[in-house]
Amino acid sequence: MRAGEGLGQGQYAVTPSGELLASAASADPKDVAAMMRQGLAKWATMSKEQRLLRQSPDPAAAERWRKWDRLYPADGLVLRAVCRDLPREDVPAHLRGAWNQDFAWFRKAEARSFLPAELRIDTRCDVPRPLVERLARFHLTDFVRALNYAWFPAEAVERARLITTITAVDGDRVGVRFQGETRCATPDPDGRGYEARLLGKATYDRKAERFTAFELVAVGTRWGQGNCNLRHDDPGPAPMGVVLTLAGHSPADRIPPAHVGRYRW
Amino acid sequence: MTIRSRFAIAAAAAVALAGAAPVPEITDATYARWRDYLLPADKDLAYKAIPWRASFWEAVVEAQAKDKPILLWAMNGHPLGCT
Repeated sequence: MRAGEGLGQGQYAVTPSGELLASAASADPKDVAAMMRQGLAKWATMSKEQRLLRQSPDPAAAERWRKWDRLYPADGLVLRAVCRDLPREDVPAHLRGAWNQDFAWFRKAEARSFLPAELRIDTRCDVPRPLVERLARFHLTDFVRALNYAWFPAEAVERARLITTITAVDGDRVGVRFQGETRCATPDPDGRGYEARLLGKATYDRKAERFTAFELVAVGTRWGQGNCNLRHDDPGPAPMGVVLTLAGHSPADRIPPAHVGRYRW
Repeated sequence: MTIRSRFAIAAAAAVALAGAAPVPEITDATYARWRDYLLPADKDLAYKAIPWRASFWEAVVEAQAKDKPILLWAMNGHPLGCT
């Protein structure tokens, strides 16, 4: 069953037994609401035997295939990354407000390594390069219009530096400032890249051993096309930004990063 | 007027002069403005008000128990993540 032409992306109303009630492939909430009403009308005509499974499904069955979810770093650092074009006039009107999101994960020890060993005002450290490269390769990419299957290979990383400075210590709360830069570029004919300056701040609770606040903003220039990210008519160079903040704890905030498989966890 | 629209007007003036989209500078002085520009607005996050289940199977289990239909949102990439 497909909601429309193409890849099958869309909205589906279905029964637990697997029967299709209705479908739509629309970003218009009115279309989705109409589809849901259509689905409910069909549901009302079905017997229990038609709409339900004969046996109750095993809740544990999904664990066999949700392998990335099992890696969620509950005691680590989970960030939401939001990517957006910076102000430009040469973008079609219907794409001007486009933004997208992803998540970035760091394990507990990795999160701690964002800070100096000694948590004293004015102490500084370089965030370990592998962690900055994780950001540069998989999260500071052009996914504004759509998921970009073209992350940056390791050899594309030209610069990846993030410096942490302790700005305040108040009991268990440690305030920090981030400053850095990244640049990833692939050679022709691929010819894409993103170069950014980074600035941010965070609060780390040394008793709880976790960040309680986190912001990191990347502002810079992207160029080239990715893979499936709808830049075929907009290769740049053009300004783009990414902001990373602490994710929440709802199920919607625990989604594995798009490229978590590349973390090599 | 939103922060985003204020920046659009300022950038439009710069584009008219330079002929290309300027790359903003991020400094301590401009940090908060660019952070707020990039962050999604409340209306952008309205979808989170719906109590989505993170996987189809969770919905199947619950819908079977409650005798209810399922609304499935299918995308390339996870609809609650990067699509």
